[in-house]
Amino acid sequence: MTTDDKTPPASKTGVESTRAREHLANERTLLAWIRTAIALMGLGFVVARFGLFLREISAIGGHPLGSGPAYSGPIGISLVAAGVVAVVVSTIRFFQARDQIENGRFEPEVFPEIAIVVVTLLAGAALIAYLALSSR
Amino acid sequence: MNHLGRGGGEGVRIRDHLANVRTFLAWFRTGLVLFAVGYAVAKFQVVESVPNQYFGVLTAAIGWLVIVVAGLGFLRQRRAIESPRFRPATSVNLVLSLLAAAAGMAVLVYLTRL
Repeated sequence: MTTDDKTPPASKTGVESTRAREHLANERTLLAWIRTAIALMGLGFVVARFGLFLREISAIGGHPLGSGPAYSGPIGISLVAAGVVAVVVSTIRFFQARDQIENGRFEPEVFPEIAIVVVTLLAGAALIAYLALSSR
Repeated sequence: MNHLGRGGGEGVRIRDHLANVRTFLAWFRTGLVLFAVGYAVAKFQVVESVPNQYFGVLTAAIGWLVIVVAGLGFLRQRRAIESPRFRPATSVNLVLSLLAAAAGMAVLVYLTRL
């Protein structure tokens, strides 16, 4: 008889179906985090490389952009780094929530969400200020 | 076992919290995409020497505000899940739809005038 050591007897009770839905919800949440992190890394890459590309293009076209310092690079790199950290943190959180669901003691998180909002808002504010100043 | 939540049981409470996180992430991504579109438009406006360059920056600023709203909404629903009452968001969604429609119209006008 092959039984998983964690799984209770495979009964089609209401409790078991609720448990399955909790784990599936946990899995969807991890996937949503990964999607968000990939979007963050994509934006960071575009921010870091797009400025460079536009500088080259406009220099070729004979309309060089202002020769001020390029802040896009560090901001873009920090957005990519935030995406990488989000993948790591959300994966750790996935296994933590998995254990909490099994133990019946679920603690809702709040720090990862606040952190990703604060980091993105800071980078975004810097980019908006940079755009507003460079477009005059 | 657990006295928190709105009486739907621990399983419902867990799924509510996880759904809240996913809703937050969806809002966050929406704001991120709006920001990225605004950023790209603003950069191209600089290159093309468009006279009024505020449109791209404005769109990016709206995306920034959507991310603020996403964080606030997440905290609000998190409290609501732990308390006995649920308050579904309505006006925020309507405002976002109107903003998206306005941004799309502005892009169309911008593209057809060039």
